[in-house]
Amino acid sequence: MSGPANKSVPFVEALNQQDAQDADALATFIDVGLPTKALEAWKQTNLRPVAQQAFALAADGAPAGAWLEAQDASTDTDRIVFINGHFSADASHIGDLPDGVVLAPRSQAQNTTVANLGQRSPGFAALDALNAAFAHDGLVLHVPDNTTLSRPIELIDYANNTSDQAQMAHLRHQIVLGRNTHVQLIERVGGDLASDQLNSAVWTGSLGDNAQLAMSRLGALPDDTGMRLQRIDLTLGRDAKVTVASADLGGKLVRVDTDVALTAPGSEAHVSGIYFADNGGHIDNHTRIEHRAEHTTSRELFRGVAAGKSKAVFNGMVVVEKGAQKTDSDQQTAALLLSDRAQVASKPELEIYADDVKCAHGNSIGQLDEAALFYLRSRGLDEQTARTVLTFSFLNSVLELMPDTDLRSAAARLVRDRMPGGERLQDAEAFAQ
Amino acid sequence: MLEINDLHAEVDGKTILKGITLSVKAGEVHAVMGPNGSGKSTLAAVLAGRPGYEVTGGSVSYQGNDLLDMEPEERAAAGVFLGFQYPVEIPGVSNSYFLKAAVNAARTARGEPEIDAVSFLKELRAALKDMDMSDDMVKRGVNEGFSGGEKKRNEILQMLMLKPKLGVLDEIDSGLDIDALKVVGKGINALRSPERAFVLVTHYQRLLDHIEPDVVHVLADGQIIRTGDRQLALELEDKGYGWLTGEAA
Ligand SMILES: Nc1ncnc2c1ncn2[C@@H]1O[C@H](COP(=O)(O)OP(=O)(O)OP(=O)(O)O)[C@@H](O)[C@H]1O
Ligand SMILES: [Mg+2]
Repeated sequence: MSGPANKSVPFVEALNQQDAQDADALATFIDVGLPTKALEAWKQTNLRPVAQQAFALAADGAPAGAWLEAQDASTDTDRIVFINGHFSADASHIGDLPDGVVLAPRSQAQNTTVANLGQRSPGFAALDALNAAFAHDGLVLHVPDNTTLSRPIELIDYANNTSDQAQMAHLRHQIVLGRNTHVQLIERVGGDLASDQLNSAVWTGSLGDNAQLAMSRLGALPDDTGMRLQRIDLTLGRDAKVTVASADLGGKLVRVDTDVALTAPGSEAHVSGIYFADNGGHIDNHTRIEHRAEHTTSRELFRGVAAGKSKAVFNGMVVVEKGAQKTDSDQQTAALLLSDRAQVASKPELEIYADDVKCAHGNSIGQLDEAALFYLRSRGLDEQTARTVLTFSFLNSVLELMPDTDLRSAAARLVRDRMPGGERLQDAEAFAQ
Repeated sequence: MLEINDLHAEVDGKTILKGITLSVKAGEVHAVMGPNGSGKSTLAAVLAGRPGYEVTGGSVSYQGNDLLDMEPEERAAAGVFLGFQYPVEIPGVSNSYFLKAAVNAARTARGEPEIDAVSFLKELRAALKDMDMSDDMVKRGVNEGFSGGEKKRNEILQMLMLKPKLGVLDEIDSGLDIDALKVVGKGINALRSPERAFVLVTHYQRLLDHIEPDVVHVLADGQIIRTGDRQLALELEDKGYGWLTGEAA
């Protein structure tokens, strides 16, 4: 079934047993090996650039480089910063929290365990084991019943590599939200990389009955060196609601799996994302929404562009289990090809085992609308500006769904920076109101 | 101002304009009428420089320059404005952003500095009032979810903000109720001046009750088959096109 795995490749051979936090997980990883294109979930994303290199585990103590310095230090968040997989107390700040809330790096938290996720995502099993084997830190967030966190929690996952050696770093996060809780979460990903660096991150989260989690993610890694493998796995209780809004705006090889299990009636998942692949980069979003109970709802909206000689992938799996009647699911994806050397592979997948359900999906890949382009030009906008305006608005209408407004503005700025003449779209906020 | 001479054009290999000659002087209003599919919108598109419309013969000079040699945005900068028969919806780009970008493109082309926010808002408010449009329509995406009539008013709103020298308005009156027609007519009349000219493509005499044309042309099968004064429009309203094209009315 699993096809030839990348087992005896430089990546695996270079792994140092001494570095492992979890020997069993390492054994599992070595046994399974890095996924290859023979696996369905990795058909469009070739991990050869990872397999063919030896990655040293990044050491603690790397400096805060330009990217990290440039992150506006918002005082309205509880900020927890990891540099190359290691907690940075200097860069973090956590204010007063309601009683019973645990918010800490795992290296400092007590009595926490992180579940092994391998079984639920066959495509990610090996990478989950790799992450478990080497991650010795991550965020731990436990919120007791009936608690609202007034400030967003902001996690910064920063990669720094000033050496000429390929490096890797791993983080494993855990969120447990009790009944009737409200939490806003921000994840910022970026780096200063002189050489290749592979960061992996695995988030596991459970939301109790009637809990609400709003997660905003912004990833912008260098297109020539930044690699990232990420999985978000959330399980929702009755009437719980999660929003995950992502912006993946750069990287040599980025793969993000967002998986939500709706396990009880009334639970809802709103998953959206934009991506912008350019400069030979590769950005892959996989989502998996499991409707396991009746009266569950999911909404997915992804839009992205691929420019230059880049490649983008979207795969959206929706599973409706037997008995999950009255499931209401909608998935809409669209992609723009900005050059004829760019590639987009976008695929909705439905597995439906219940009969009284509403499952809609739409998927389009195309170029900018010629009629709209001419309309703008006929009003005096030069062709490049017209293209930039249309591309920006295409992405911005999905970006608007991002719950955190600061992160949304930051993402909008990065989108503009990736386009020729984008700096002229100064009042991007005025774009759509 | 505009000299069209023996213009031939094709779309997707199909010849549509078959030798059009037309001369519009500053200060004049010309009406172009004609049956469906005769080439009226094609003529407008060629004048605005729409990609995909290939000119296969003839010439167009605008203020002494070769219009056909200019990019669409250069034509706009030179004062040519096309009012679309079917204005395009652009979700995600707010109408106000779009208007400001267009106004600033025109100012930059004239060598003027960009408009300041206060003056822009003042002009916009005045134009909105003239067009009987609500403030929130400029906050919405360009033409997004607008009714047919609202789209047409939005075209005139843009024209009021851009103050072009030559307005080519393609069926600006289609889909308008009586009140909206008055509003649109008023907007166009407000811009009429000895330096400006208009080409109005229309099927209906009633628009011409509001905006009196100096010259009326009938376009059929890619050619102008008759040119006259206002009386011609009234006659067409009465008799249809059959008596001109030789078919039964
Ligand atoms: N892309 C195209 N490919 C082929 N034929 C086209 C294309 N676009 C327009 N035509 C044809 O060109 C002819 C003229 O079209 P045009 O839109 O200019 O007519 P019109 O006079 O504006 O008609 P109406 O009064 O209905 O608006 C029509 O026969 C139309 O079908
Ligand atoms: Mg027409």
